[in-house]
Amino acid sequence: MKIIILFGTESGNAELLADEVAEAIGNRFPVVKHDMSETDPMELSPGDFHLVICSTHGEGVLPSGAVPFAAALDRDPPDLRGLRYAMFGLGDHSYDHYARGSEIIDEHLRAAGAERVGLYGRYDASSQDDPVQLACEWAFAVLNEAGHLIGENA
Amino acid sequence: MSPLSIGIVGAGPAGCFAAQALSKDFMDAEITILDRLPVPFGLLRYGVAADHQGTKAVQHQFERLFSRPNVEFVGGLDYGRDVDLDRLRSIFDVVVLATGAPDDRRLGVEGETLEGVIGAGRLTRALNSHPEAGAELPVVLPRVGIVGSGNVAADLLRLLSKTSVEWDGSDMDDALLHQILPRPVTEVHLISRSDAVEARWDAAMLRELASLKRPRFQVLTGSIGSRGSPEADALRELVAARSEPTDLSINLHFACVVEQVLGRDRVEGIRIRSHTGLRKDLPVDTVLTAIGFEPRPVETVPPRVYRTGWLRTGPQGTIPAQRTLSKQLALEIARDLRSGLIQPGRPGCAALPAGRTTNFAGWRRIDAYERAQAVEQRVRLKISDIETLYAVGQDANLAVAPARGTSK
Ligand SMILES: Cc1cc2nc3c(=O)[nH]c(=O)nc-3n(C[C@H](O)[C@H](O)[C@H](O)COP(=O)(O)OP(=O)(O)OC[C@H]3O[C@@H](n4cnc5c(N)ncnc54)[C@H](O)[C@@H]3O)c2cc1C
Ligand SMILES: Cc1cc2nc3c(=O)[nH]c(=O)nc-3n(C[C@H](O)[C@H](O)[C@H](O)COP(=O)(O)O)c2cc1C
Repeated sequence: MKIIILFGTESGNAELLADEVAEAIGNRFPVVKHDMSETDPMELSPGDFHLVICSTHGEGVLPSGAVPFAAALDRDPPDLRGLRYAMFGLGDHSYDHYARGSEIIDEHLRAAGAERVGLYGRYDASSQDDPVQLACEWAFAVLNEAGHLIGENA
Repeated sequence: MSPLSIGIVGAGPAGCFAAQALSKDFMDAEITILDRLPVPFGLLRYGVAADHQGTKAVQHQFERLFSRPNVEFVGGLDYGRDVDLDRLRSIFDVVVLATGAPDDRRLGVEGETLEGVIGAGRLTRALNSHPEAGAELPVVLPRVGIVGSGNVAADLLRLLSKTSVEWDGSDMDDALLHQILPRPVTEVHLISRSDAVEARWDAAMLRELASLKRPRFQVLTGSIGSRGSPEADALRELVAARSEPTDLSINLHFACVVEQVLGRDRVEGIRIRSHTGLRKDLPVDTVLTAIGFEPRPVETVPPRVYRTGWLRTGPQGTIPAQRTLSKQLALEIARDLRSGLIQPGRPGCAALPAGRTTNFAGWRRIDAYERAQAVEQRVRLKISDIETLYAVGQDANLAVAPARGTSK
């Protein structure tokens, strides 16, 4: 089983977190990074475990990099039963719909039958938090919790 | 084969995103980003408002970038003064120009040079503690005219309206703010050339204005109309939100042009004319122009030289747009490499002229110092003096924690 890090971004912050998480967990698991803007939901496989990292833009909508992916899930939902993923949202609490973009992706994935597991991570851009540290802690927590699903050396 | 050497001029969002894309696409390339200032990030540091720290989070990406062993920052080298294009082309295989477009667009009416007419770029630089703003700090008096209705104009409305507690969580320098705004603003007239539906600001910016404590908004010229758009709806709510008198009225004038700035030596008023031909003289003592920036003249560039950011597109477009441009740039460079137009082999960074420069470690010291100096409810206190910037940047005795999670 591979870990797929799937990110949706507008200004690159989610991609940075995807890079850093990949590096942080890379010696424990086989990891592949995918940009939602270049991913067809049909390609998602229940044989992989997914770490999904997605920001929010506009008025609580998806970042432009995630729009086609969500549209494809909406238009032509693949059967994602058996697929497991964990979610990390980027946002800014000074906006009305905090980290809503990640929730939209979450809803789409669940509607297609996928199952979210573990912690729902969040990063607030107007806090003083270090996003990399938060995302890596989230990934480790999720992977520890879901370790039995993944198999450490699979 | 020797690695590709890339020199990027300008460490604003465009230059940094360019370096990011190029370091991903050309893994072995040695990338140098130089800037005339001793600190990086351009308008991300000196344009984006102090109370929008969330927007500045993209800085984390750039900090990571500069922490890579093959990416260097050289601050304090002025392109044009310290190094010219021929020299850069002899030093780097690829030269990327990303120097932006910092000059405020001129109003182009009589009176525009009177004392008290201030460009938004100049004012936002000053509010952001730009080291070159200090010599002639702009002063905003209590009755203000703002010309323009884009996001920068909305930034100004917000920045001029805030009370001290509303700056919590920002990096606003209160002492500096007090010098720029010696007395609280009591009246603003915002003059928009377009009608309310066509104004260029985003609804989210207008909604943010609704949460301010002091101002009461009203439309004095033109109307919002009944036509719907998220911006017009937000504007209607803003105007309806508060009707009781306050100590700050913000008056909006739509679909009218500025005919003249009135006054003998300094601003005494502003004359506007609506589309229906009606003239009004508004008594103001400061005029802020937020009508965009002068595009830099477009010169053709020789082979192996590229442009990106506001220098390329003209002075419009957000920070995320700079990221999109950078991907395009990487494609162009890849194409020119394949075609043989670019032949690696030039010396790179080490061949740059010596001078009083800073590097990324210097920026890390400045950053740590500014955060440590922050007063209560502020996240940093920016150094506004150029000598102090260099002094702190070059003081190797200042202990700095290693960049978060990085290897350099
Ligand atoms: C007041 C204001 C507020 C803004 N707020 C936002 C916002 O909230 N969100 C958003 O997405 N966008 C915002 N923008 C737009 C954003 O700032 C631009 O999209 C972006 O900065 C353009 O990047 P750039 O690198 O082309 O230019 P710049 O950011 O201007 O960077 C140019 C860099 O080149 C350097 N330079 C210039 N001349 C030389 C020289 N001769 N030699 C060496 N170096 C040189 C400068 O020092 C600077 O570091 C704002 C713009 C302004 C003006
Ligand atoms: C124009 C704009 C609109 C935004 N809207 C929201 C929002 O509605 N809700 C939210 O939680 N965050 C919002 N954000 C904050 C971003 O989600 C946050 O800055 C994030 O770090 C961006 O990540 P990205 O670079 O991967 O796109 C917005 C940011 C910008 C610049």
